[in-house]
Formats: sequence, C-alpha cells, structure tokens
Amino acid sequence: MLLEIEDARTGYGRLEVLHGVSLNVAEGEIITVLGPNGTGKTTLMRLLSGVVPLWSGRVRFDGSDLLKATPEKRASLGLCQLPEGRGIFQTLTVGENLHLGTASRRASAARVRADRDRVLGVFPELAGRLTASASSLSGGQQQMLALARAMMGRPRLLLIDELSFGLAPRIVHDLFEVVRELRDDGVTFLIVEQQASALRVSDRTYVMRNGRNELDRASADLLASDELVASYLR
Amino acid sequence: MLQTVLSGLESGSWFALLGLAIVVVMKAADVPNFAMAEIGLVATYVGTVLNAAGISFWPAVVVTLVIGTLLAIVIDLALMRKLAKHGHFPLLLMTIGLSLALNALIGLIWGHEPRSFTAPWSGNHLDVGGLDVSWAQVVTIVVGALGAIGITAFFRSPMGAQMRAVAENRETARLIGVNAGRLSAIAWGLGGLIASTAVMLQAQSTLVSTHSAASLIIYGFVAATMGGFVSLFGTFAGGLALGIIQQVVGTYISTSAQFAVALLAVFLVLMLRPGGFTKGMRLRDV
Amino acid sequence: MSEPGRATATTTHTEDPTMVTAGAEAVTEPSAHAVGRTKGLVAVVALLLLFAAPFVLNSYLLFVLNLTLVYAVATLGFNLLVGWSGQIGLAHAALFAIGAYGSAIAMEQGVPFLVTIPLVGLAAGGLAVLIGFPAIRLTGFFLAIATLALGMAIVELLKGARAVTGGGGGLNVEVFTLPGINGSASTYFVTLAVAAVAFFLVRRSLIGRFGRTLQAVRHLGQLSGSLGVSALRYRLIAFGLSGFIAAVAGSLYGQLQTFVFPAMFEMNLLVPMLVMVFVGGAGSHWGPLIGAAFAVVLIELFQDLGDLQAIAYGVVLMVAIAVLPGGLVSLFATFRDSRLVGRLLARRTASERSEVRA
Repeated sequence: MLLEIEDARTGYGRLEVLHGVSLNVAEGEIITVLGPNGTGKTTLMRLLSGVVPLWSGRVRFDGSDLLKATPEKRASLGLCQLPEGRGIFQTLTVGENLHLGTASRRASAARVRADRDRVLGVFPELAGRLTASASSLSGGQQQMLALARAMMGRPRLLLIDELSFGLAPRIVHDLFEVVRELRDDGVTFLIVEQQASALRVSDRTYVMRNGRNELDRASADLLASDELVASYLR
Repeated sequence: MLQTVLSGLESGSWFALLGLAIVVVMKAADVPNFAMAEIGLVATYVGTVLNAAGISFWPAVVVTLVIGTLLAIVIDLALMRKLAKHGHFPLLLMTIGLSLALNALIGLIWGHEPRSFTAPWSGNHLDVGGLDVSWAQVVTIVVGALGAIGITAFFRSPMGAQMRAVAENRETARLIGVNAGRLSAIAWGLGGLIASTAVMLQAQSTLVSTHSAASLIIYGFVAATMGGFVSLFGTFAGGLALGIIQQVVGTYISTSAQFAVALLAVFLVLMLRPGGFTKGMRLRDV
Repeated sequence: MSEPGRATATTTHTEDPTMVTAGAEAVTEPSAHAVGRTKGLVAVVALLLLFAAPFVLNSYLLFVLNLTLVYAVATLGFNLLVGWSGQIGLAHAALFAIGAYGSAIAMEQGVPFLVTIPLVGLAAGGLAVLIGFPAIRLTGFFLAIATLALGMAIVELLKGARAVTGGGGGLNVEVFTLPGINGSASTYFVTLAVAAVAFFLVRRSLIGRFGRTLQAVRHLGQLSGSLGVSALRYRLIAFGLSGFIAAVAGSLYGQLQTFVFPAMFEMNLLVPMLVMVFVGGAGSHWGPLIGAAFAVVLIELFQDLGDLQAIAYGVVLMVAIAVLPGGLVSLFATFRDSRLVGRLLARRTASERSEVRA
C-alpha cells in the first residue's frame, strides 16, 4: 500500500473532527473520497499534508510513519497536494507558479526544463502564457496550472481537494481525462470531492459522513447502485 | 536647493536600504524587525574597529557584511523561529528587546562616542557645475540604487518567487513543498547584509553611534510603510522621498521639526493610499 | 457544539458582530459567574491591603507602588485598544502626555485637580477619536506607523509650544493634597481611588456585551480585512476610551512626578507600555496590573546598572517572551485559553469552509 490510514482521529483545539478514519490507497490507483459539506474531508487533507497533527491512529506513506514530517518534508517524499481553492499565487506569473512545483526536490536546470516541456505538452493552453500574471487565468486554466505545478514535483501520490470546485462540467470532464492520463504515467491519486462526477475516473470510492468513512466500494459499482443516493439521504 | 536634494538622496538611500532590509524579512519571514538597524550597527562597529586596527578597507568591508549576515541568521534561528506561531505581537516585542540589548551591548563594548568608517575616498569632493558633491555621496547613492536593483532581481529568481509565494500565502506555499524555514533564514541573512550595507554607507559619509540607530530604524520602517511592506520599488522610492523631505525641512524650516514633518508626510500618504503608495502596481514592482 | 462544522456550515461570513458573539456568549457565561464571586472577594482584600500601604511602606516603596498603579491604569487603556480591539495604536504615550500636561496647565489656570481628571480624559478621548477616525481604515502595521507618527508629532508639539508647556525644559506640576494627609500619601490615595474605579468600570464593561463585541470585531478584522460600519464604530469607541484612560493616568503621573518634560513621553515610555500589555497578556482583565508591576520592578531593579541596565532590560524582555509567548498571565489562563482557542479555531475553519463552498 502506498498510503495507509488506520483509525485516524484529529481536529482543532479540543474539537474532534475526524472520529476514526481508515482508508488505504495502492500504487497506481485513483481513489475518490466523497461526502457532503462539513464531513471532515478538508480536515483529512490537512491531516495528510501535515497541517493538523494526528491525535491517535496511524498514517503511513510508502511504509513509513508520517507523524513528525512537516508539510514540505512530505512534499519531498512525493506526497504532494493540490490545495483547496487551487492555491495559485496571484502575484506570481504562470511560469513562476509552475516552477514552484520543483521547490520540494533537488533537480538540475536541464531536468526541470525537460519536466516543464513534458507538463506543458499535457497542458498546451498554459504554454503560451508563462510570463502572464497567474491572476489573468480563468478558473479552469488556474486549475490546470495547479495540476501542472503539482506534476513538476514528480509526485508519487497527489492529493487533490475538489478538482471540480467552481468549474463548468465540460472543463471538469477534461481535467479528469488528464488525471487518467497522468495515472497511466505512474501517479497515484487521492481526490476529495463533493460531486459524484469524479466516480467516472476513479477506481474506488470512500464515502465520508460525520468524520467517519462509511462506504468503500468500487466506483463503478457505486455509480450503478442506489447506495450512494441512500447514504447521502440518511 | 540642489545641494539639499543631493543630501536628501544620500540619507534617503540609507533609509531606502534599511526599509528594503525590513521588507525582505517581512515578506519571507513575516517578522517586523525593529532590531535591523542595530544588526547593521554591530557589524559596522566591528568594521570600524578592524579599520582602526590597520586592516585595510576592503577586507574590513567584507568582514562587516559577513558578520551582519550571520548575526541576522543566528537571531532568526535562535530567537524568532519558535515564536512565529504566536503572532506578530511577541515577535515585534522580541525584536524591540533585541534592539535594546544590542544597542546597550555596543555601548558597553565600544562606548557611545560617534564613529566613522574611513574609506579610501573619504573627504574627497567633486565639483559638478557649482554643486559640491562628495565621493561618499556618490558611493552611497550608487550602492543604494544597485542594491535596490539587485534585490529586485533576486525576487525575480526562482528562490525570490518562492519568497513571494510565502509572502502571499504561507500555508499554501508549504503545502506545495516550499521550505519556508530555509527561506526565512535566507531572508534574514539577506536583510542583515542589506542593513549592514546601509549603516556602513552612513558611517563612511558621516558618524554613526548608538543614538543614530533609533532614528534610522524609524525612517526605515516609514520607507517600508510607504511601499506597503510589500513593494520593493515603493520602499526604495519612499526612502529617497523621505530623505529629501527630511533635508528640505531641516534646511528651510528647522532641524527639530524634521522628524515630525517626515512622520506627518507618511501619515498623509497612508490616509490617501492605505496600503502604500504603489499599491495596485505590485505585480510589476516586486 | 459537537458538530460545529455542520452547525455553522450554512452561515456565511457576516459583518454583523452580534451574530458572531452569539456563540461566544454560550461559552463564557457559566464559568464567568462562578469564578467572578471569588475574584471579587480577592479584589476587595487586595484593595484593603493597598489602602494600608502608606502606613507601612517607606517613601521609596510607596513611590514605586504609586507608579505601578499609574502605569496599570495607562495599560488598562492600552490593553483595551491593543488587546481587546486588536488595534496596534501607538499614540498612547502621547495621549498619556496630554493628560499630564493638560492637568498641570489647567491647574495653573485655577481648575481644581480632581476636576482636571475628567477634563483631560475627555480632551484626550476626543483627540484619540480624531486620530482614530482616519486611522481605523488602516490595519496592522499601517495603523501602527500612522498612530506612531501622530503620537510623535504630538510630543514634538509639546516641545514646540514653549509659551504654554515650557518646551523641552519642562513644566512644574502643582501638587494636590487631600486635607489632613501628607503629600505623597495623598497622591497615592487619589491614584488608588482612580485606579480602583477605572479597573472596576472597565472590567464591568468588558465582561458584558461590549467586550465580546470588541473581540468579535477583532477576529472579524483578522479574517476578512473588511469591516462594516458598526464594526468601525466599535473600533473608534475603543480608541476614544483608551485615550480617555491614558490621559487620566497621565494626570496622575504628573502629580506623582511633580515635574514633566516631553522626553518622558517618547519611545522610552511607549516601549515599556507595550511590554506591560504583553506581559500582562493582551486581552486579559487583571493583566495590566501584573504587566505594570513587572515593568516598574524591572526598571527600578536595574536603575543603577548603567549600560548594563538596558542590556538587562532587553534580555529579560527577550527571555520573558521566549519562555511565555502569551505573557505572564498566560500561565494562569492556559487551560481557559486552550479551550477558547479550540472553539475559535473550529468556528474559523467552519466559516472558511462555508465561504469556499457556499
């Protein structure tokens, strides 16, 4: 398993938000964590990226404990994140934003350039706008930039908080296509979503409710059954 | 009048450089550093001691700059780092406490008499169309401008872009793998380097003492405020403008009113353009 | 509050402070009453002890105690502004100076001292509102620098207006004495009475709705950066009140020192004032007293050390901050704070989430 979470509890101050979450992700999988607003999905992301501490339970990445690793250390281990709200720096140019993706690893200028060309090959829309301000991009383009930037870090596991956030269905569809392509290149994905559209590309889905994960199903099965609707209504 | 403007540009360059040192630390480490002038002063005093002991000028300059840089990095690592999570107020007071302690330490070791850092060109003057220009002024203004250009260029480099990312959103920057701690140490070092340069420039032109640090830091902060604590160009221009205002007031009104008028000018700027007078042009300025 | 994420997820960001305080009310109300009674008793006993001080202490110690109370009152006002409303307004030393000078000058004109206290309070309060009126649109360092500038300008003005203030040379203060009591004891009793009233009134108002609203405004300011009209009004009120209290303390200071000059009110006063707020704990009730005692003892202790004094002062300050980043008072309040912070954080993340996904 690339990522194993066992009975993880955490929260803010004295307030527990995650009451024992367990899930695992194998190398090369695309996993969706689905759930309505306020169930602790973002807290789960913050836990994995090291922003909030683990209270009890266990989080292992590639077989080693992540307990004390800082966010930047985790990134350098290959556990990268596409933060909530995209995390594009508006005062930087597109190219500078892209380059930030390499902050967590030591790489020669030539390799960075090669990576950049490869990533820009996936997102040709960005190629012509490298010197433009990132704030001039549309929402969809910013999300592409966020994905492209994450790819520059050569992640092993990419955590994505709401890829579909605020985007038109058409654009979301295209982005998920890219996710599928990147998986074929060897990247593993853990995608937190509110919308079920992510199920079309993912292999397995966890449904979260009230700080716990309730269902673990193959995404295709979940799409075909009534279970999802039922779990949302409950 | 031109003579006054020239002096204004000279002292303005010190203020501008100190303001830049403050902004650099502010951007990357999020610390309002009131000890910046004293850091530069400690370094400069070591330089003057070496100079007086017969060490030649350029090696003394290098030692001064290295000491300023290292002192700032040590302060960041030893004192500031673990306070960061408690917000601005303890950090602010820590730098104030540090400035008191460093200032008194300088007085204890080297005394309170003013000193200067004698340069090979000290005392030499130029006559530019009736204008009396000292070499010290030329050096200060040129180094100040070069310093500002250098810092601007640094902030356009990949590492500078990381610092700007941290300045915009520290948490997000860390999430995507930017090592904010390392950047903070680098920013402190850079700040110490610039501050030592500023105080050294002041010392090769006039006298510096434990008393000159207090007004230098206030003017530095005022310059930084004019740039909104963000814009390097705004800080530099603000520092120069402040120097000119201060000299003009000193020459034509009274030297005792210098401080108050300069501060009131800042108040006006803040009222008219809250956020610094280059707000809105930030992207191109950085 | 077991699921605040869900409970508040539907409320979007609000600019109306009363909506935010609704939650805080439920948190603070029960404990405040239970602890309040014992605290009240402690306060009465402390007051009686303080009342006996002139009969027990020698004149030097009485002076130190008197100075502590004066600074405590000044810090009470400063804490209201910096700690409770979260605005780093740095004109406080200058407003303190207005109190000292204003009271002395009014007495020269034949106004009785006790009448000058509310007079200088009103004058400085009005001035603070005038300073605050343009300044409250600013936040953080911009506010700090702008108010610092105005404060310094006020002190420069005191230096310049030689005819009235005696300029840099200073001004003698006519000392008021209560009938039948010797000078320093009388000054002390007046200070003690004013301090007791000030602490009582400020504490009363801060425990109630006003204090909660101030804190809500502060947290809203940090979260959103943009504030509604009612929030701005509260920030102004905080400015005015802190100015009033600063000047009241200043008038007492003038009585204690019997001689005032502008250099007393520059950075060498402002920095200790900041230290007092910090050491006492920004936003606490009794912190100003503790902070003032800390600073005065420190200043008096290191009086004769020369250059070492400033080093000792700086080093003690640095150590205090490094060991107790939340101020001395945080020692006592660790438990309460952790709970409060926990709830605030929970509320904050909940509202952030709702903002993003709404």
